[in-house]
Amino acid sequence: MYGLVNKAIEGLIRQQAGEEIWERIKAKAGVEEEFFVGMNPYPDEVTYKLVGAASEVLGLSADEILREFGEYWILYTAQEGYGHLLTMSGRDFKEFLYNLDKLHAHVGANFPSLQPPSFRCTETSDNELVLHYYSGRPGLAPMVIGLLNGLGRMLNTEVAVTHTASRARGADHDEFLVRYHARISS
Amino acid sequence: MDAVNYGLPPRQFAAAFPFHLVINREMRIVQMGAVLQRLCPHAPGSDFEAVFEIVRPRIPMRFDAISAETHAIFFLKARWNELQLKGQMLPEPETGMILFLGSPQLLDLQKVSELGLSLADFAIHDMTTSLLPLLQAKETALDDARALTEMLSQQRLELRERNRELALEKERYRAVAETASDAIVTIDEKCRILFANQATERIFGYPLEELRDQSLTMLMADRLRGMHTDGVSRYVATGERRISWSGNEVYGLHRDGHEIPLEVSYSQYRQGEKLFFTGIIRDITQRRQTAAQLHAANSRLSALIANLQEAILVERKDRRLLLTNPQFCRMFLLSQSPESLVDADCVAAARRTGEMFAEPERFLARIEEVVRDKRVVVNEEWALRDGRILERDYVPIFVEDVYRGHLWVYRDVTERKRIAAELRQAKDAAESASRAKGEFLANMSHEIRTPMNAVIGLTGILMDTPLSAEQRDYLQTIRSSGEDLLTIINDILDFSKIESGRLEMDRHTFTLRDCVEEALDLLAARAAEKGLELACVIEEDAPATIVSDATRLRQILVNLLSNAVKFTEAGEVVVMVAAEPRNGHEYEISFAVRDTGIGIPPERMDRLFQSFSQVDASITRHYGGTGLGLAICRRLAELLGGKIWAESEPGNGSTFYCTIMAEAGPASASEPAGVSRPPLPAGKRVLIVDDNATSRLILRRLMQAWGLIPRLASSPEQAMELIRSGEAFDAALLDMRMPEMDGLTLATQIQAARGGDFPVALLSSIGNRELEYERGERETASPARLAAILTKPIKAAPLQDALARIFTQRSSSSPAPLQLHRASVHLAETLPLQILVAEDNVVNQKVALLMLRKLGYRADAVGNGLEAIDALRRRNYDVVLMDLQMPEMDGLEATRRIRASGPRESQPHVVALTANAMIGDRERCLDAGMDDYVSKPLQLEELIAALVRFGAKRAAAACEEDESTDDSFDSQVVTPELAALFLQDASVQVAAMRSALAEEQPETFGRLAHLIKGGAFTLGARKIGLLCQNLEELGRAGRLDGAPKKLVRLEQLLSGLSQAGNS
Repeated sequence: MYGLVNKAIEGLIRQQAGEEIWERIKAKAGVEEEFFVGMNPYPDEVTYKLVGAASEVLGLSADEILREFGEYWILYTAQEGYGHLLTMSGRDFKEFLYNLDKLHAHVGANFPSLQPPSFRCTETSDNELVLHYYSGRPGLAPMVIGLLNGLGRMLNTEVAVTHTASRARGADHDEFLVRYHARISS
Repeated sequence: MDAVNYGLPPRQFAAAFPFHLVINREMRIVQMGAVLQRLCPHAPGSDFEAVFEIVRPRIPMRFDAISAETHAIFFLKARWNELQLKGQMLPEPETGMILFLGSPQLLDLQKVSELGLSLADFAIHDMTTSLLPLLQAKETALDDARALTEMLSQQRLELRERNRELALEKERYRAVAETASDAIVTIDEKCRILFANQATERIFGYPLEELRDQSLTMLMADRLRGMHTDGVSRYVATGERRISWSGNEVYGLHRDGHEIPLEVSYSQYRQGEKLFFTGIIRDITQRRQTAAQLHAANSRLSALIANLQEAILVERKDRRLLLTNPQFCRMFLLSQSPESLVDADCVAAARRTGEMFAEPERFLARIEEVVRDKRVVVNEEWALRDGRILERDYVPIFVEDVYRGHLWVYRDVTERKRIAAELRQAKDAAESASRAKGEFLANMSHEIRTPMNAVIGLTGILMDTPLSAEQRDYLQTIRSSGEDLLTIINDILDFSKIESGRLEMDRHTFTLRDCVEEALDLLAARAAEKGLELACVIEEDAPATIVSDATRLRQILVNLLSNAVKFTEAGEVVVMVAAEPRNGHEYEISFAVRDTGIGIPPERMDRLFQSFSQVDASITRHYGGTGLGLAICRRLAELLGGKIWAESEPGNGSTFYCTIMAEAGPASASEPAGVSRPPLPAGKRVLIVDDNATSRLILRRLMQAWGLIPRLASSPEQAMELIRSGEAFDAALLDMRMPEMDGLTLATQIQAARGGDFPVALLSSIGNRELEYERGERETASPARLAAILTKPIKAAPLQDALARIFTQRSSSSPAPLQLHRASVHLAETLPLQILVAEDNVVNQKVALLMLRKLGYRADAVGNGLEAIDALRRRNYDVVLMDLQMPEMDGLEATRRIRASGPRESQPHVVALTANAMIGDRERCLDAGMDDYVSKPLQLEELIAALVRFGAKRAAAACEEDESTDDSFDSQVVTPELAALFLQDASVQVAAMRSALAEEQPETFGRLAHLIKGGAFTLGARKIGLLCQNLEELGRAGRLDGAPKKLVRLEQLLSGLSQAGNS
């Protein structure tokens, strides 16, 4: 997994719980790295360990953490210089979701070892669509929910997500029913 | 215009090439892709050049030039925004247009974002979008690199800071360990010393390098070693903590073998598996000693307080008793022990104890007041009901400015008070007795003096009557014994006056040298008798005149000098005078009287200046004296602002020092009025011959001061060598008395060598008359011509006068006259007088008597006006020298009484003596009936002048008043033969006087009168004598107008005598 992801986890925990907690979580996870290189691929277990340790230390479920992380991820990447890329990915929530796979496709083309997930949208009505999420990594679906929420916040859109199909429960892939409604900016 | 689609459906073409554009031959943009058109909305229909510039290739902006570059990569840059396109120019020959196929050049995500491009704007085939993650990755990597660099720098900085802190900390720890006064030793489990600090070396005496890796036991007393090693092993093995060599009773072993009392504390730490112990070891030798001393001091203090004769009570701040002592319990009749009273309530106790005091309420009120003030109170007196008197001190106790309590001290002073009262009574009684004694002494002295005056006076009268030699000798003894007794009585009187504080200093301006020389004069005769040199040296920088009491100063000097002369058998007595400026015009004038006498033993020195004390009782018997002289001197010196002391070496003489404080007098007063000393011709060479070194010194100094060149010889032999060597001299000054050859003989030899005219002056301590006599005896043997004879002690003024005469006579070559001295000596012969001196000061008396003795008079002296009147009743004195200020009755009052007592003719001529040379004095004297006036200090010339004035007046009066009275010889002296001889001579001389009168030769006339006068007085023919004296004066004055008449009278008197003789 991208170092960027671990970095974001670090950022989230430091922001929410502080330096000391982060050091404890890192120690618990047995992670020695002082610094995560953004574009460096790290073994997935690093990320899982961090999330697991954070769950233990913070007393939150892994799902909660991942959801929280997903939301933070959007804000974090926007802050960390990914703002332009995100902006280019869509002018509104819907466009963004439709470009989501394209974005990951480009990343995957350039950095194949990262094995980015794939997304597909199925429009069901005016303000509703089904987001299909395909990933080689298990258990990250809650993070997608957080991502959608974060995106909604970034793009000033009210979003309601329902996890309609779950790979963990035997489905082929994860599906999310996303209802969205652009807020009138004030 | 139709859209150019190149065979594709328009929507597909637009989707495939959202950034294409088409330009025609006119270089006008005729078609644009939808996205490009969104970015450049005004471009369609515009000139290509107006919208874009061609960055690459470098070709002119022309259709044909562009058409030619079909294989080149074109970079187009929009002129109005940041858009840059990369693509290919494809000319279309059929339409005559150029198609540009390209897409935005994406180098900067921010720019892309600014242009408002989104992923949807790019065709899927367009690889440009794939660059976006790469660009993003590049930026991320850069950011990471920056962040890492920053992190690294920060870490480096922190590391450096940390290292520095560590180094400092290490240094601190080292310093702590090194400077600790306690030894710090670290050992391992096997008791090996790994570290020891400097204090270890100091305490145990081992150099540190010797200790390293050694067992700690080497620092322990033998008996503790085994225990310690076992203890450590046990602890390491079992964790059982029983390490010895820690605690209070621990002893170390110094390298030199002595044991050291120590206090040891341990700590341990683990490094890895290993256990280490650190011991902090304190040498408590000093502390033990201090504690022991403190304990001892405390015990002593406790014992002291317990045994103190004063009652002690220490109260705490809360007024509870902290400490008291047995004496306190005894004093206030308390049955408890001092210990059992600790913590007692002092306020309540004071209320109980207060009942014992005479004034309980005042006692309690005062306690409250004192405790409130918190100021030290001492010696407060309290009476008890039982009659005891207590004295109480209060001392507040402050520790570092904080009040902690206070101390009461009570003393029973009943006995002391009683003794003090007795002592006071005894002292009052003693003082009153002493006063009475003083008054008695003064009275007695005075009472004794009156009859003594009678004894001395009448002895004098008796001596004028015809006596046998034996009788005269007895009388002389009576008179001199009387005078001695009077001196003693005067001393006592003086002393009692000083002691009772009744003596006041009479300060006036006088010449310092005169005062000293007069004092010397008084002792000159006695010194000469003993063959002592008497001299004075006055430092040149001493002021010529000073303001002080000359009489009292002279009294001190005379006393010191007379002691010096008295106790010196051979050698010299020298007065040295020096002055030291103090402040302003004031000087400290010091006098040193140095003798070569018997000296004073050191153990007697302190008694010297005490009253009634002589160095030795045997001395009193041998030398006489009251022992009051020095005590008087001491008090007089103190009254004159100075002090007196002595230094002496027994056998080598003594030096008595005296100082006074005095202002310098006005400069003009340095010369006595009316006398101006002639200046001496400078550069004259004077040979000085004297065996006495001090005399030579004095003479050399005087010569140098006068601008003369002295040449000194200490013996006649040396002098003759100088003479024979041919050295030039203008005069010689010779001492009369020298061991090998006397001055007269030397004078003869000098004149033999240098000629009879060579002026020689002789200094002699023997009287003139004796010298004259001696000279007369040896006239033939030593025919020396003396230019002057001067008396020793050497006095500046006569010496200067004599030298001035010598040097001026040399030029006029006239003979050396010695008239003045000669005349002085003979005054009593030509002008016989009975003289009384009334003067209270003993020294002044002596000065006056001495001067008169020089003139041949034996005068009497009394101490005040009453005594003078008394003396006049006994004897008809011709002249009274009357001091103005005297006790009992002053001179003015005495004169008034004398004048009121009877006819003036039978009364004495009164000459006033006064120190106050004030204008009003003369009038006051004359008003009181005095006749003349002489100022003090007495000068010989003035005294002579005054006596001569009286003689002349008396003679004149005798001539005028005594017209017809006959004269007569003293029948007891004059034989008829003598009388005949006198009358015969006189008739010849009267005849000569007649012719001198006729020839108007007053000088001859006077000289002839003088001849008759001498004989007349000798034979007792007083009238003739007086008349001749008058004629002599007239002749000398050159006034012969009244002479013929008087000459007739003289002839009458002579013939009357002649007839009386015949009958």
